[in-house]
Amino acid sequence: MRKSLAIMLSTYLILTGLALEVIAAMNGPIGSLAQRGRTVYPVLACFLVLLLLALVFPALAESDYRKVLRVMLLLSALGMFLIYVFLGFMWMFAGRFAMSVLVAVFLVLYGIALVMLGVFNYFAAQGGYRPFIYSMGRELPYIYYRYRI
Amino acid sequence: MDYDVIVIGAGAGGLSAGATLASRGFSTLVVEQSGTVGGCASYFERDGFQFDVGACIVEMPEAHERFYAGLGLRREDYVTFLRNDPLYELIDMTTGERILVPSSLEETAEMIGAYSARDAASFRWFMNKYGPVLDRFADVLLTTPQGRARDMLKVFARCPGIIKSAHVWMTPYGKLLDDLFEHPVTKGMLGNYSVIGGLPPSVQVGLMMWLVYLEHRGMYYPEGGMGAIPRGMARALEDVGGELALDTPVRRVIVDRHRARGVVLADGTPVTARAVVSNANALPLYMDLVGPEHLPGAVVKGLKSYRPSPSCTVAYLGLDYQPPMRAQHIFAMASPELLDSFWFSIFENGIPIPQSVGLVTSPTFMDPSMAPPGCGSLAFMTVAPPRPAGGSWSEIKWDYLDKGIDMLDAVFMPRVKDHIVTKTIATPEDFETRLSLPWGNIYGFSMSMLSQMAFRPGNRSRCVKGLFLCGGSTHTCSVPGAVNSGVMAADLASEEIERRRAA
Ligand SMILES: Cc1cc2nc3c(=O)[nH]c(=O)nc-3n(C[C@H](O)[C@H](O)[C@H](O)COP(=O)(O)OP(=O)(O)OC[C@H]3O[C@@H](n4cnc5c(N)ncnc54)[C@H](O)[C@@H]3O)c2cc1C
Repeated sequence: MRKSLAIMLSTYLILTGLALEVIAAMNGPIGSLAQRGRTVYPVLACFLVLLLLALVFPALAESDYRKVLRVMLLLSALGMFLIYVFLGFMWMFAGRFAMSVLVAVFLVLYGIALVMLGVFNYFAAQGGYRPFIYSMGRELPYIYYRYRI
Repeated sequence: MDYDVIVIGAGAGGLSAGATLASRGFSTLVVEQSGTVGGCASYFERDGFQFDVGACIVEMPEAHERFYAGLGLRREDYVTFLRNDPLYELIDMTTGERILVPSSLEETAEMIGAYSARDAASFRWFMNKYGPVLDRFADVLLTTPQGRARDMLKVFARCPGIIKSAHVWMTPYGKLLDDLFEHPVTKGMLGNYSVIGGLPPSVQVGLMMWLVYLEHRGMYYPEGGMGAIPRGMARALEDVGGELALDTPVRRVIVDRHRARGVVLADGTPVTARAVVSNANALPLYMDLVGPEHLPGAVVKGLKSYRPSPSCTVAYLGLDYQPPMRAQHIFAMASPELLDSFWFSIFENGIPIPQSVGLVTSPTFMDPSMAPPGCGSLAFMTVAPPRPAGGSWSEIKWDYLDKGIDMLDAVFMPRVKDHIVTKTIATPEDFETRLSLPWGNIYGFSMSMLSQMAFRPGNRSRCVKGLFLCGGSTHTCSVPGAVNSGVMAADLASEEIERRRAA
């Protein structure tokens, strides 16, 4: 992937992640339909944009990064969609205050994930970093066990 | 109790631990399965020639100074180091050009300047800016016991410079070379250090530039060959009251209620001790000598997760003349991209490439007494898969050796073939069976970042009390690394023995 494209994608992911943090922070107790809309529509928009990115960007990436990028973007889009469904479902049961906490927690975590994805993409999209990152990725799941020795 | 401490293995690490403990007044027995001391840094004789089994380069001689000083002895009385000047010769595998690499950073910068003034300036800038940080880090890392998060933090606290410049060290080595240098010769020369450090340039960390710096601080060869190092250490062990038993393999570590209480030798004799120090690789130590039944599942999973560091073949040639060389070592030089592709073919696909001669070394260049009068010797290494695809090493090794010799003759040393009086080869399979090195890998375990420090087996076992580890599988390894790790394991074991004596 050209560096300018990698930067564009990463910037989008990081800004979206930060925007979710802001939405989470500004969320008061959620009651009215309008308040719900302010939270729900950005989440829905995020999902749609991520889906679009998952369709476009992998095609522009090198063969050894294409699948990784597609899976990551699709997973994050799917995650976003599940959150959307989950929150919609919970609105039927949770009270105003509980709901606002739930929404805030989800958005904060998801925002962090998107920021991390943006940073990851910035490095992984560059050929010079990719073998290094993949090799670390293969060992990462074992560090706890190694630490126990 | 038969002994205060038993040390399994007389490699550089085991001898260092054993001698340090004996010098502190603990009754110490070092048991070694083979008939010579030294492990990877050992030696053997054949037809009047003395060859180094594996290691042939000594860096950081201060590790040896420290070791002997800790025993109250003088290093000069046990081993003499001869300085390599120039460091080595490079052969450009694409053009055939031969380049001498000098032993000082400034001269090397000048040598680089002959190809690119910009590269020379970058090299000077980098070494001036980061050299002292690398120097300090190497020193701190190699003298701080490892195994816990706080040990790792201690290293960073004692060397804050390494954190401040983390962005450099975390850059992949190949990318760092691309960012800093433009000329293929500079990249080829420095690219080699990545492989020597155990990983290809695309996967290695930028931190491996420390090898460049360390080698320019001084590269040595012992008088009498590499074997002079363990022989000197074994003599020191006996001088300070320790015992050494060769040809004495250990079959089991006696573990009772999660505590090591001695060992069982291969002939079935139990030998009890207050503490056990192991120089054997952590994988066979835990899985075979201790046994998975004494280990938590997480530890077994961790042990099985390690990837090997590179393995190699070493060919040993006795010659009827001293081959014409300008330095003791000749390294093959290729672009970082080529190194990567060779690496992945060999280690991911298991393809043996006999022509991948990376290092040619002549022990008799430094010390002619290692061959009969008028003769000389050579050894050459190829990086080689632990298990070759479609066969075993015992089936292919002689053919592999002959093809390697053809390569040597064609590229490195014309007509050397006509002078061979004796030849043999050691393969990864040989290193595995003779030294109990899993996969025959040369550095104990992978040199990747997530297999280092707190993520490498600790010097103090976390699951078996009274068991201490030293050597390649516990520390970023090399001969000095093993020597240092032995001293650190001895420090930890001393505390334990004192405690148990008092109890
Ligand atoms: C081919 C090759 C080239 C190398 N080149 C260099 C170099 O140029 N410079 C450098 O600094 N480093 C080099 N290294 C690495 C360096 O040699 C090692 O890291 C270092 O010597 C390891 O020392 P160690 O103390 O870990 O033990 P080892 O050398 O692995 O020795 C362990 C000892 O324990 C013994 N042992 C194991 N199990 C048992 C048992 N059950 N009972 C009794 N004894 C047992 C083994 O026989 C062996 O003698 C090289 C290694 C190899 C293989």
